Amino acid sequence: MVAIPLALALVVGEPSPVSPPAEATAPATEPRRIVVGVIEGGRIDAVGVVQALRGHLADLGVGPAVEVRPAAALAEQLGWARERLAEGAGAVVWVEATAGQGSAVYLLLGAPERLYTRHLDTPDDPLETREILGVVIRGLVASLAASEAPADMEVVAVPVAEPPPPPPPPAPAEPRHAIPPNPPPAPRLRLLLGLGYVGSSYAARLPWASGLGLELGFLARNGLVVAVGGAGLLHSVLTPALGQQTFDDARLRLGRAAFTVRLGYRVPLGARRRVFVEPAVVGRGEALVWRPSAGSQARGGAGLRVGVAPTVGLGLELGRGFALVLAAGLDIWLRNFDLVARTPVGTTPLVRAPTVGATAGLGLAWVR
Amino acid sequence: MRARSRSRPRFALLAVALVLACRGEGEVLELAGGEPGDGRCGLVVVDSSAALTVARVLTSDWETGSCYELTLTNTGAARAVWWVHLATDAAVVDRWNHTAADLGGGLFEWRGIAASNNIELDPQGTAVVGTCLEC
Repeated sequence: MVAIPLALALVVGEPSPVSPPAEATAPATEPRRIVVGVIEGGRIDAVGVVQALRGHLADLGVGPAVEVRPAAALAEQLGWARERLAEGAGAVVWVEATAGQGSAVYLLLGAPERLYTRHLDTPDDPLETREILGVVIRGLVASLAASEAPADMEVVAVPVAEPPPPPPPPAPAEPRHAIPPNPPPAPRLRLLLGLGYVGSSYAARLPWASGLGLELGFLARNGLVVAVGGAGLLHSVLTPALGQQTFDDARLRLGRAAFTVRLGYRVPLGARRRVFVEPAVVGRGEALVWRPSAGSQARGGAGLRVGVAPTVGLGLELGRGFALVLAAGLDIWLRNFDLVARTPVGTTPLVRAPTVGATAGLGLAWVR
Repeated sequence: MRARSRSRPRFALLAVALVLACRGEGEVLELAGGEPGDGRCGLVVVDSSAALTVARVLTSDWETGSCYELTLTNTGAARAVWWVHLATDAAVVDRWNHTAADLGGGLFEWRGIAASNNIELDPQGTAVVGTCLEC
């Protein structure tokens, strides 16, 4: 058995209710359009149906529009027809032509919804079937246009439209203990530890000292940084000199113990906030200690200098609270310290530290 | 009471200024030198280049100043550039046959000049240089 379902969508003016037929006396409504659905792969093709309908409906002023429909159960075809009604069609007609079993014509009217059907003994020949369908549909269109109930059609109980699937039940509330607890708010103050290389300038004859620095402080939630630090800096051996004279027998080694108090502000940069800058003002204090080298006639001693330094740090978050930080500062020594030689009339400087210096650092900072 | 509270910031500022104004210094070595000289203004020969002997003579002296002359002799075997370090707390008002670099703290380095043809001294060669000081 070869099934040739053919759906024809015929859109006409809204007819009056089916029964009683005599009551259908409303003025004719101008037909608007016809939509014809043809099952893909069926024996009756869409073009042939259109041609047949055009011929039969020409004098009624109804133009067919063909719509290809897949073979489907009545409920599904009904759903499609309801969609067309909802789009503004007054009625929808479709036909199922089955080889060896004739054809069935369906008509769906809206408001209220009524479904009609009629069986046709159509032959298997597609051409004859098209002609018979054309005649039947013409009669149907004519009666609807005259606001009459469709003749020779049976009322079919409209299958109840499938109720919309019930909304999914609300997800059962997870037990309280299963809800992941909100992350605890960031503490107001977090511990800050820093460790790394520190380098600092001193004077022309002792240009740079390198060492290890350590810093301990707090990082506030708002980015404020308060920290104290210390560093040990060691210079290379100094051979004092005065003018043309070099004191080879007075070599010494200078070390600097640096102490800092830093007040800064951490500013995250970028969307990922992995990079930050830390401008800060640093108070600096340095204890200078020098000792004669082996065999040297120089004297040992100690001194102190104090200064301030605007600094800026550039950090890269590495994860787990660690960050790589590069910092640089401009030191302004408010009270400086020189190494001098005593003369019969006073002292003359051997190492004179300039008021402005520089400090740089590279290290790891850890925040907890 | 008010006067006290007003004066506190002033004292604090003064103290800070004093601390910051003074420049700390640590003595590494001592340049003893010789006697300051016989004149009213002292001039001490602190040190000199190798193989150089320095003879200091007071050539003039008055109530507020002194003039000295130094005779330099190269006792080495080779021609050599010379220098002398001299310390004084007086102001230099005149000098001849040399140039002086102020090393700070009253210490000066004297060297020869081309105009006097005494930048270098031959072996056993001598040069006379001098200065007048006001103190």
